[in-house]
Amino acid sequence: MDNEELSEIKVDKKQVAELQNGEWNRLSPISIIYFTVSSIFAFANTLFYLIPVLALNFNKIKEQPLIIVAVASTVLLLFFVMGVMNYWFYRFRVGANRIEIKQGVFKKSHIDLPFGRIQNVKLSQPLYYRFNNYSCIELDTAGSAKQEAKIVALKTHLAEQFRLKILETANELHADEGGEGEVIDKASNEVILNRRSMRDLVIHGLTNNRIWIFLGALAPFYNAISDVLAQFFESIGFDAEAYFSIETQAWWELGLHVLSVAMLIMLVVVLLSVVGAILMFYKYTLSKTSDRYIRRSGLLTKHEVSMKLSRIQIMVQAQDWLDLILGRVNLSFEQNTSGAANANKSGEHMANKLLVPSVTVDESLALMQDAMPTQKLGEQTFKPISKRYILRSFLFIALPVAALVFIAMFQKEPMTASVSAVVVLSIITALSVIRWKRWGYSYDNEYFYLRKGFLGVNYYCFPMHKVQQVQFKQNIFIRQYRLATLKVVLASGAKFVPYMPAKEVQSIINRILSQLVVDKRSWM
Amino acid sequence: MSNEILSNQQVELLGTCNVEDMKLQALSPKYRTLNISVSLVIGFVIIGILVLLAVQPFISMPDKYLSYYHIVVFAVVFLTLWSVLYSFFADPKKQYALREFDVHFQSGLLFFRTVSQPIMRIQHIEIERGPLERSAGLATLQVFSAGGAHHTFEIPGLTYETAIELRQFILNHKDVSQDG
Repeated sequence: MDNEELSEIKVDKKQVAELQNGEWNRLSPISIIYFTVSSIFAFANTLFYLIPVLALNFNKIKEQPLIIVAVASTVLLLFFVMGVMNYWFYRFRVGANRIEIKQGVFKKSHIDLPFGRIQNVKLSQPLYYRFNNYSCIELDTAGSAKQEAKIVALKTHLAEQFRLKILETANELHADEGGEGEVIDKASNEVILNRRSMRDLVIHGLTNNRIWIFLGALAPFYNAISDVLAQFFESIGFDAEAYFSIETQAWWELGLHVLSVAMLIMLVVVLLSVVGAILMFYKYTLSKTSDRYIRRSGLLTKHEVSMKLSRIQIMVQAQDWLDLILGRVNLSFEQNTSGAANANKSGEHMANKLLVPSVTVDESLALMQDAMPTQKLGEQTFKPISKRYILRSFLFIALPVAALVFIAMFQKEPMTASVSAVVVLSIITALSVIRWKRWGYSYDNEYFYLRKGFLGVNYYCFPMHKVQQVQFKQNIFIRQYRLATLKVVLASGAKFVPYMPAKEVQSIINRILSQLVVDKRSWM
Repeated sequence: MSNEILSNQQVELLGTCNVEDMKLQALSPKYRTLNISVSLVIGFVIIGILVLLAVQPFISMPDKYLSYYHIVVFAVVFLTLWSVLYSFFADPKKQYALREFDVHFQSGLLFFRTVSQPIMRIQHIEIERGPLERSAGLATLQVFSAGGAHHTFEIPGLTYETAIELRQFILNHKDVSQDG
């Protein structure tokens, strides 16, 4: 670290100390943009059901462009005024070990949050803060979503120092360990564990469907888009009706046409998915401080998610069939899903999951080794579950579906009906054989390992001392064969293994319970 | 509090008592009686309303109702009988056990299940009593862990006293006071 950086940090620390003077502060005026944008989003969310109406009347509205401009600018102005008012009424005060925020125009709120209760500090940088280097700090508490506090605009340097300060204070309150200087050193000593290059993100886009990011955003314009497409096809002299007509061409020609259109659509889907992956994971870094992992990524809005190492309940190594071919893995660390607060947030923003997209198998093993040094997922030989599992899907899925197909087609062509029934039967049976082959479990003194999947394969690894509850399940069909299902409840959710030998399930349950008798480590 | 009596029950020496060999305790016999009477009362009330609507002279019911209501009555009779029989056979299968470091609840007539809840992972405990349970002197013990609301450990049909004793045993447990 050179002197310049050092002095910069010193200045920042001074600024943090100045911030902690116990006076009510106002945000930088740049936050007006934030408030304006977020009230637009809030408005869009609540009026989401109006979008189809607007889309339907799109053509009518299109004819009166002046009205649109007038309405839009009034609405924008209103939002801007709201933004200014929000800014005007926002005050925050930082004490030695607590933060207070007063906000709200019509509905006032006063949040008083001791640092000790803060679980997680997230920094995010929306696009419009990028130019002048501001950031938002989001403070998560253990409990309800209502308690969430946000400081909307701070200089990024200051925000980072502030984050350290809060985490240190929280740590000190939880456990009085070491001198202050030592703690600071520990907390700011970040090591980057993993970066994702553009190439990795392209692979991630190919193997994981990230297109929903677009489909969601484009939904209101489907009608308009199809109109434009139709006009485009007409203008280049492409006759879709003739292209797909059965009368004018042989069946194989039609098949080729359908296939080529399907390929074209797939190509577009994949392209958009790649763009989605880049939007989400651009400049991805996973770094580690003494006790937590921090993930930073994002093209337009930079996200930062941090997770305490001790909070990790389970590690999941997910591979789709395409991942298997390319030798890539989506590794995720999952922590407790506290309350319903996270349940509503979708996809990668979910705070209970820390995803490392499309790493190689070796990288994934190394990362898992780092997170839980004593686990040996890579060396496990997995035990299979009972083959009666195949019989079950044969009896309860394959046979009924095949019977339905047969009954539905029987009257017209008995021959075709029998053939299709047999085809359906064998396909479903083949799939259930594959599924059975994927199931596997293994355990050592500390960890339980689970393998399952279908076309792809997922590996799970969790320490047995973090188990919240265990269940032994059995029904009368499998009881006579001494089989049972093991269900293990973790703070991050439940995992189960079906059709295991009942004796084995009992011995695992006994093992977990007796470990908890001696091992008093916390799950958090 | 009669904790002394409770701590005299089934104490496991580490590694000697397995989950499958535990001695299980039955629920209060009133639990089955309560469930059966509730099913019967609900069934009779619905049947009564259906029949009364058909025979009363005040409002003229549609013809469709008059020609089909007996089918509905049969269906309700069948469902009532089913739930009475189910309670009769399934409720005695519901049993619980308390060990030094965990609680267990077993149930199931066709689908068996034994749930084991380590006491160390318990976050909080509730005793729930509806009006019917109160009238029968029964209570349901609910135990919450970080496993979430879907995995609430529950023992129904305890006498109120037993429920209180169980709760007290768990609250006094040295593992619970830790951060869980």
